[in-house]
Amino acid sequence: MTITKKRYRVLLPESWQEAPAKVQRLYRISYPTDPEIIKRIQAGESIAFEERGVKEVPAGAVVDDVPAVSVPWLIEQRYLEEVADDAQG
Amino acid sequence: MTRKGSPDVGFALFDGRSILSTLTEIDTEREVVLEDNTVLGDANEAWLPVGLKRGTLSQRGFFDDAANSVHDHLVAFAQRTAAIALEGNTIGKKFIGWAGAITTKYRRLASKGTLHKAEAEYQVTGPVDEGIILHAHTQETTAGNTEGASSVDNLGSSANGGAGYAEVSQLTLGGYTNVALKVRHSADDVTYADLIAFTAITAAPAGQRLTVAGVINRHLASSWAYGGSGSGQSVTFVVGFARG
Repeated sequence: MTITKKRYRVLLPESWQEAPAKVQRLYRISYPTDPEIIKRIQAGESIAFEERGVKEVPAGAVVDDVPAVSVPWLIEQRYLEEVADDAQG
Repeated sequence: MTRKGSPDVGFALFDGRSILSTLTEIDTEREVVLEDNTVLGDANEAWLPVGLKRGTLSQRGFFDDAANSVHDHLVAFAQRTAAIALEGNTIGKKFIGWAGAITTKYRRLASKGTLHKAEAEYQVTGPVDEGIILHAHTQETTAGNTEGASSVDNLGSSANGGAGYAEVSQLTLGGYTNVALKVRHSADDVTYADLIAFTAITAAPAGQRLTVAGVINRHLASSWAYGGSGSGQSVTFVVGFARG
């Protein structure tokens, strides 16, 4: 059985789409990838940035490790869009 | 509620010009404009707000002609963004932000046996914001951010946008081309996303106020990064945000 993770593209806000490419690349999201860290944050623990092991993702990148808890608000606020499984990253 | 005093004043920045060390008094005022709505037959006066707010700002202190100090700032009679923290130079504390403070009166006082004094009055143009400090007025030598334990949890999101302030009082690029400051937000304190990216700053002093519309999530943070490569870099700045 193959497990297919959902893939998401990090979006650029509409107001930035006319900006030069080097400016567009500045736009990004960041999140920890360690499930234990995510669990501790969700439990209300205050964890310093240095301990979080944060991954930074620029606009345009396609990722499959966005914390599940964050996906709904990131999609709702147009930071992410879901990518079809056969789409090229 | 906690009383505050003069030691609590954390910074006074005008387009990055840090003049706190020259000041002995700041006087800031906000006023709602009302119109007399009393008509014939009324037994009591009635007043209604006309929908306008206005602000005033003035200062007193010592004359100082060091570069970018109070004299350089005031003698230019310029319009600047301003950020003043009355409650401390600490992340999460409040600050007052002015979109535009125009120096309209600059008074120098010299008298026998005293240090020279400098006084000024400003005309406030545009909004006056009640903001929260996301990065205190301190120096950073490497890229970083305040996500996580140093973020500000406002305990809820808001829907009416807001205004971000960046005030840079010192910048040594050491070969780097600029420093990029941002306001970031998060709904869950797990993933953070860029909310405001200030125009890359190449020299200090500098100040910016940028607005953003829409949802502002519960958690707020700031970030800073140097562009290019170099060594010996440092930047001293404040980043703050006021919800709309």
